[in-house]
Amino acid sequence: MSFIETYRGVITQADCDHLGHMNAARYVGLCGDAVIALQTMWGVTPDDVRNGRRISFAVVRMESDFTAEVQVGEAVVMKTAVLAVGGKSMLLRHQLLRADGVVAFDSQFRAVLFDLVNRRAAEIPPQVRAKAEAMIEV
Amino acid sequence: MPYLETYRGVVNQADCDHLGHMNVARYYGICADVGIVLQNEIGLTPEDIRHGRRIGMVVVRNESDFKAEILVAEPIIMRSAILEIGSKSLLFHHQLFRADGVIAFDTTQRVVLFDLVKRTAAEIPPDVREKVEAIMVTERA
Repeated sequence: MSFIETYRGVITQADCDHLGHMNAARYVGLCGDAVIALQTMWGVTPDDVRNGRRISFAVVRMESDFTAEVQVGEAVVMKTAVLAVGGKSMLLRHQLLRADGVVAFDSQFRAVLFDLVNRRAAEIPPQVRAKAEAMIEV
Repeated sequence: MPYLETYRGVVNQADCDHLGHMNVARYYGICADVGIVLQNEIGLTPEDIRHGRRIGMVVVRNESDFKAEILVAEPIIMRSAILEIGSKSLLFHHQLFRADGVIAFDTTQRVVLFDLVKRTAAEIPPDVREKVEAIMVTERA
């Protein structure tokens, strides 16, 4: 499996909760940002979301393990791999790593290409598919 | 026991993203709030988090299906149940409903009781276990 970097940042107090660590919702927010980074690399641009083809990937299923705490001040990196590409959806794997290299979060993420006008799943265009499939290590 | 209503609110613009619907992270923000509501039902109070026993529930695994969109201005309700209890963990089930009754989101969460001083999983105290057993649901919705 070949991972590429899809997010890099530092955890602030605003990301943390009353238990003194990054809140579960924030992990998923980072996954959302990671998907935007990925789809942009594949040619589904911010303009496609706003004005152009009016398409974007949207998550339909997540299975996530929270394997270690992330606390305030931590430098984190998200790495993402493509596991499979279907007609309208793809299966991604996100791992969030702390600065010490510990994997804090590991998630499998089924995302569909979403037609933002008709509000339903759409076929993945060939150019996007080719770039996504190129990330699957054979 | 029936499922408990654990959240009721309205989706506002700040909950939505550039795709024009409630953002995926917001679903889990609601789950986090609901976790606190459920904790209170089983005798783990805000005081236990802040000063008292210094314990709280944290999620270690989620399995979630996003089944329908939620758009701005939607009134939403979450209903939740505790399905299992272990020595240090519980299994929560949450369903988020739109005003038309459609289930938009269905998630199972494994949560562990967390010692906020030692930062490790802790045994569920007998008083909490007793309350969990009183409200546990045997039939999953």
